[in-house]
Amino acid sequence: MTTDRLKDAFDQIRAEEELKAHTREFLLQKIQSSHKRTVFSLKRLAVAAACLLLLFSGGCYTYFTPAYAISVDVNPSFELGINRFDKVVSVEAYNQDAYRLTTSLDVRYLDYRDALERILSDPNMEAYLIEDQPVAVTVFGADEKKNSEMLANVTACTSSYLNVHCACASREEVSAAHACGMSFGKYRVFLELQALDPDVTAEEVQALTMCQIQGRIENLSGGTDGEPSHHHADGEWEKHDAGHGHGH
Amino acid sequence: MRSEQEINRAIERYADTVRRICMIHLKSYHDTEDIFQTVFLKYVQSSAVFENEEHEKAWFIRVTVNACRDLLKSFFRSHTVPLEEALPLPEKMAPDYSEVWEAVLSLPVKYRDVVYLHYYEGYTAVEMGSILGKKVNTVYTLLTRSRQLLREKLGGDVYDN
Repeated sequence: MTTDRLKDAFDQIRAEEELKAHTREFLLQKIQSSHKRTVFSLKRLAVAAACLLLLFSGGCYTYFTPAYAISVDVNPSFELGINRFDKVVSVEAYNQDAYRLTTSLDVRYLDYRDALERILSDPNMEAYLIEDQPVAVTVFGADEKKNSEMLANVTACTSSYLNVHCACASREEVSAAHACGMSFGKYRVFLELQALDPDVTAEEVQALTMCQIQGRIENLSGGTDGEPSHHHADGEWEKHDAGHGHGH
Repeated sequence: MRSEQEINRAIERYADTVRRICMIHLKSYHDTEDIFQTVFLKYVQSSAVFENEEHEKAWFIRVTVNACRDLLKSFFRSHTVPLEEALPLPEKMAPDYSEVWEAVLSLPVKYRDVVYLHYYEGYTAVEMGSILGKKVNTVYTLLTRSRQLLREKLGGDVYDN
């Protein structure tokens, strides 16, 4: 009979309703706080992801947005867009020659000095770099200090080439050139020509090579020395004769 | 994480079992509350899938026994004496049952689990070995010894189920 007494004695023990209620309450609190933590963690994760995305987008935007540009005008007229890290991020051709040249050359993401050297030493470019062909290299950007630094570097890079003229330009001037559908180097000689011949139009000049424009300037000004007068609002043009450059 | 509905079902179904195991191990109601919270929280957080109700019940018994052992082994418990050390048995318990409970609680702790599991829950020695993590022969020894002790204290015979 002791077995039955044992069973009955154990059977007398029941969990108190208060004990069950407290346990239930405790567990529900735990579940809620766990949900809150999950939601909070998800929110934090979302904020962190948004920040990362913002940083990444900002980084991409900064990297891929040209802050400066280098305009190269021989007959091919093109502009290299340079980012804040001195890398070429865009190449814009302004005529057919430039289009042919830039499609055969991959200079994107190169340092602008390396890009210039590669362009000038390219066999396709050599045809344009004959001795009497003036080459205009124009640097422009929002930061004057950076413009000067780039001009010095570009001048050094091109010092071994004949008739290379390096200069700085302002953003307004460059915008005006782009509005006329020309790179800045060509726009500059167009302005020179227009000063001598007010009837000349941008459309007319677009079809001419740099050498032809220079020839017309020389004819109109009556000069025979073949030296164009390079003056600019931001300063004088740098000219390399027989491989000698001058600092800006 | 289990749902509120599952929690309510588990509490209704296993609270008495947990309470009885607490009764044979603990003397304090506060400790019992702690064990309830520990055991049912483990259930809430557990991703275990139970094959049937028996499997689930065995899980609750094993977790409760282990939780009680852990509490008793804890540093704080082993170095302090609870205020309710001499906690009386439930007040409403009839004198006859009090005598049985006193006899059970007077057994060494290692005998109490097998007494409860065998005489109340009806588990075999093999099943108890699995639940308590003991060898079957050890369980048999514990059962035999506890039966002798209970006979000495309560008189009469304690039969196997």
